[in-house]
Amino acid sequence: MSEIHLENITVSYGNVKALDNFSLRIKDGSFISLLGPSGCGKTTCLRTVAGFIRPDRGNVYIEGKRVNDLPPNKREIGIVFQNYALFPHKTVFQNVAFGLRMKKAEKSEIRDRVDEILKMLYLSGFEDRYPIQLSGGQQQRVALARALVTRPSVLLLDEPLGALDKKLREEMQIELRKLQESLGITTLFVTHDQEEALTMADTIVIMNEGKTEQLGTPGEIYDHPENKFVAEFIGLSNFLLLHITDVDSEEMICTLERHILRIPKDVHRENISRGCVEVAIRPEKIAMAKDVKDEPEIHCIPGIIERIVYKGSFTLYYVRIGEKQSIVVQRISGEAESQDYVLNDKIHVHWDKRDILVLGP
Amino acid sequence: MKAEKEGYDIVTSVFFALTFVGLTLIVFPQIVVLLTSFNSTPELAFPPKGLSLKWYRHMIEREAFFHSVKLSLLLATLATVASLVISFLFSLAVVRHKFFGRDLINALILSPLIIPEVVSGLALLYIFNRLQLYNTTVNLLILHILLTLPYSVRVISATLYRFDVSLEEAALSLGADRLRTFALITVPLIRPGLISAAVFSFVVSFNNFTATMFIVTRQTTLPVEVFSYIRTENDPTVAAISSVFVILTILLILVNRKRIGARDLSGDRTARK
Repeated sequence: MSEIHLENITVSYGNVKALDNFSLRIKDGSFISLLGPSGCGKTTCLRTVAGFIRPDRGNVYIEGKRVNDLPPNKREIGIVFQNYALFPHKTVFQNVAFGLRMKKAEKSEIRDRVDEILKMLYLSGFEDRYPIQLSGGQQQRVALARALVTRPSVLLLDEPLGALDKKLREEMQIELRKLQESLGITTLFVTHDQEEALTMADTIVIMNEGKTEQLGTPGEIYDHPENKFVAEFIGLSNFLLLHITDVDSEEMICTLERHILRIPKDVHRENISRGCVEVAIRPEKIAMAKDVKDEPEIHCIPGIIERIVYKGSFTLYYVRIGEKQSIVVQRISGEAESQDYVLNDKIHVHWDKRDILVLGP
Repeated sequence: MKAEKEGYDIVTSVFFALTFVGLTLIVFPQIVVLLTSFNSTPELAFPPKGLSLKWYRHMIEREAFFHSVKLSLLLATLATVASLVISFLFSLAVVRHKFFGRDLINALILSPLIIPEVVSGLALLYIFNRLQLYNTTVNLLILHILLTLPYSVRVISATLYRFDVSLEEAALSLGADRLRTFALITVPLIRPGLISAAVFSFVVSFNNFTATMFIVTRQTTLPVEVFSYIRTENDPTVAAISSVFVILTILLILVNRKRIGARDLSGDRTARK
């Protein structure tokens, strides 16, 4: 059982609250990712769990034990730092063996366990190299080996893949997740890269200004962002401001540029009855057609294609649907329905009305 | 294109000439002193009129020199050790923490670099007299610590500033306590800085003359002893002393160069990214 529990944590730097009454429960063996812009408090949260920061208020529990007063060296944690923090004056073997030596393990046991973890991370044969003689990817794996060899109950990763190039990073994302699953170690992962978080985590915490904006699985976060910050931060979204004209028991009737949109009540939790409502729609949920689609389940609005951006596997169409309003449509490049469209074509954009995300007034 | 290349050649030649003149001005006097020390007549003659080692024997036989060398070495060693310890603790505070008056304290510690030594010497002399402190060795030690601090603080602060704190955090997270982190990670990685600071401190203390002059009593340091000797005598004994120390210094630098060179590499690896 190595559950981590943060309870109403507040950490201030001067007047700035890096964490503001922040709570989080990380289940045993899960892989949780803290995601947010720089300065959102995600690294502060990790350093609080590690014990490098003492919270001004609140409690940190590891395995049900309150660890507020426990120094980092007594917390049984493994950390991989953004710059790896490998000891430059020690060889790969000495780096990895450091934690075991501090625990006063037997010489033969140290040798066996270091060999085992180096083999697991494809580092056999590099024992006598110094960190400076290794590539970025190898250094990263040494840092991981050093953090895991002591079999800590918690693994903390502070943007460990940030310094690798794209291809290696994507390989390591999969490797790291496989390793974490096979060891079953509770992992807290800090990143500002949304793709990385979506790929690796079972739970994502979107953070902003020291608070949680949303907590959920990657699917929940992407498909049902709870507010504008999350919708803007994860993926690409079109934001539309609608005027509410009427609300009945089943639908909210709104207008956008004189077009009427009926939004089913069950797609949103907000209880709004008058004024304006902001909604979002993902570009890949929108389709295009030459003719009007007059079906009850579909929203259809006429527009003109004013820009086409080819992105390789997909293409973005910028469609003007009103005097001030454009909408981005993402289609797979070369698909039959949209490949004939050219600049200034008059078309209709349409989407399933259940794909609308209602964000609030 | 051609004109540009010629211009470049002229600039390079001028730099070479200036460097050559500079080096000559530094090295030539040392050679003169070295050769003078072997002069066989009792005067500082250059070029030497006949060769002899008798001034070296005179140097060894004169007890005042022996005592002043002993005092100078003792002072330099103690001042270096004290200066390193104080500088390390002070630098740690200044580099890693923000506190009220930090810049002021930093400026004060570095101030002996700017304040004329005549002033420092006189001020300390006055204070020691007021407090009735008459132990020459202790007084000199206090003075020399003050004089060496700016050098060691600057070198050690610079080293600590480049030191990546996450290395210490990594050691802590792996179960090392503060003391072991310090001994196994911090000290080995800042060793080049500590060695440079020690060399600077030792040389500053050993060579100091002006401020020391105010504090010495009958017990003197080597530079003061040499000075008082040449006021009455004009024989090459002082040239012999100078030669010994020039050669010792060169040997020290050569030995250290090898060691610092290798360590510097590891120091560089800890540089912040």
